[in-house]
Amino acid sequence: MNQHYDKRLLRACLDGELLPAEMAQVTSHLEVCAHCRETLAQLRGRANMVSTGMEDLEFRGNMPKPEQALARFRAEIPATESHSFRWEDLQRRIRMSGRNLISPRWRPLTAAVTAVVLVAILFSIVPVREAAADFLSLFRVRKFAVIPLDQGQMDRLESLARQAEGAFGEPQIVREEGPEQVVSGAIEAAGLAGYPVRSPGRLPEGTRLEKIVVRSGPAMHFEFDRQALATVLQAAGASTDGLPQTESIAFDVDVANAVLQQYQFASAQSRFSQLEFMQVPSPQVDLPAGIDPIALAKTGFLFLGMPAEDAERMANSIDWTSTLVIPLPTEAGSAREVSVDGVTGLLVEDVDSALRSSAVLWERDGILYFMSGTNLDQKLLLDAADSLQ
Amino acid sequence: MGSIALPLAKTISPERTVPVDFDALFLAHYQSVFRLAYRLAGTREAAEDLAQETFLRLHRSPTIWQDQGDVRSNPVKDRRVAAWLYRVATNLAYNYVRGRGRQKRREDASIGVMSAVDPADLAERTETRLAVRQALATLPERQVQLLLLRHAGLSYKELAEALDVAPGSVGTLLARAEAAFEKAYSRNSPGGEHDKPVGRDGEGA
Repeated sequence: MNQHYDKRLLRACLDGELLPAEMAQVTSHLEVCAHCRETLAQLRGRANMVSTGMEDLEFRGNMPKPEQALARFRAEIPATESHSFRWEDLQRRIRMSGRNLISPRWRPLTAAVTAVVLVAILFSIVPVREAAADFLSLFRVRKFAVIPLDQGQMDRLESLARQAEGAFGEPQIVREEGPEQVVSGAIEAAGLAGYPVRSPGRLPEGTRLEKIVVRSGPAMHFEFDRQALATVLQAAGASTDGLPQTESIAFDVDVANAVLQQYQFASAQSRFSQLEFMQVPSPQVDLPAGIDPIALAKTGFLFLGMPAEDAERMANSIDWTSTLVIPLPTEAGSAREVSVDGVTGLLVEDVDSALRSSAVLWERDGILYFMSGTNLDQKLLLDAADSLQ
Repeated sequence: MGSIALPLAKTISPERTVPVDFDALFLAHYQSVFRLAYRLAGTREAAEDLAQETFLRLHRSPTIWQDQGDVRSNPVKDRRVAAWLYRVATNLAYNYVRGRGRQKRREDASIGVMSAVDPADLAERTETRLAVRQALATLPERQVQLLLLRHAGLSYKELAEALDVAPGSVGTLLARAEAAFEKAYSRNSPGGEHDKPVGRDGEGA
């Protein structure tokens, strides 16, 4: 054999990570090949060097007792941490709602997203009756609307989404999403993204920009069979009012370039405070002519148990062509309007304030902004959001 | 054709979770996580904080450990949890070390040694540790994680999973990381006391 083995195989050979057959081949080759023996010796030398180095770094004191560490952990974490599961989930979901559209996981999520696009635009909207009244006065014709969801309503939505999943096909990918591109800063990001990229001008002392990435979103074309959709709605006990009469219903979704920035720093709350900031031009969904968002919304509200009169009022109160609807599980978080970046935005807070997780969303000049903080005081978060430049 | 902003309406949360004894996980993995964090952080206090933070992240990511029933009865899942913990711990520790000034690091490294029970070669050890840590701190995070996790005993398959790389590439990545370490270490300690293999220079495969 004239060929030499590459370092991948030789390195794996050192660790005994080759298949027995490979191992036998490499071993017999080594017997006759001085070059590979030399490479192997070099690799072994380096591996030993790292190993010795690691040994040197070994902790040699008295090991901390896991039981004591656990006691400390429990003391520092509020017993209500279980809420944070939901909160984390929610926070991730909100964050991902932008990112999902541009993530490689998009396609596996298609069915669910399809349901979202078609049905949940309006069905994710859940009234908690008392809250609904407040909600109406708070969010009438705003850029963002929060719909509080209780557990039962969440369950109903999930079951609807599950039923809807099988009913629709894959979207046609008009344009693939791009890879995540790590860039050096806002200027380079702007060059790639095609719009001015803003960054917080005021951040706590010692903040480090962990990374800034640009990712281009996909463009997709959905086409659904009206009959399939109607069947799902009927099976769920919902009305088909609001669906267009045409046989097939087509949607187009186009997601532009998103820019994500991650910062880390030590704050009064924690040594590991984190701030994430995403900006993306508002994704657009082109609806087919003949679809009636208000009628669909009303259907959705009725489906979720709202009295007819309230459903009607609520459906009419939201400008469906410009409102980003955020379903918010009431057990996880609360939301209120805040003034941010010169516009009105939405501050979503963890119900468990001890965790100091919060997020602020707003829209300005066609760009959606989402900034979230972990282990971070809300004031600092809003201050950072207010200092974009 | 009207236009409507896409709602943030991904309300589907299929994670139906089974309660798992988080405490059991904590107790089972705490010392490994601590030890790993200590390697980079260099002080007991920092390593304890990092371990706490690591478990906090785990606590907040129930999907990592809650979806398969009782983890204690599932060694595969358990290994996966361990790999996840190691990755998070090394990530946090790396950021911690990188985030500190050189001066501060030097200071902490010396303090770290004070708790060590090895007075015989204390001075030499201090210097060596410092050089190793400094060398690691100059490498990219992925390489540092790879070296630490390999040393912690993860198999290639586990490494591939923990670091999200192709299993077939682990040998190459490891060879490369070790070469990078050698280079950084030699730079940091020109008269280093390690046996450095003499041979061809280069970044590896």
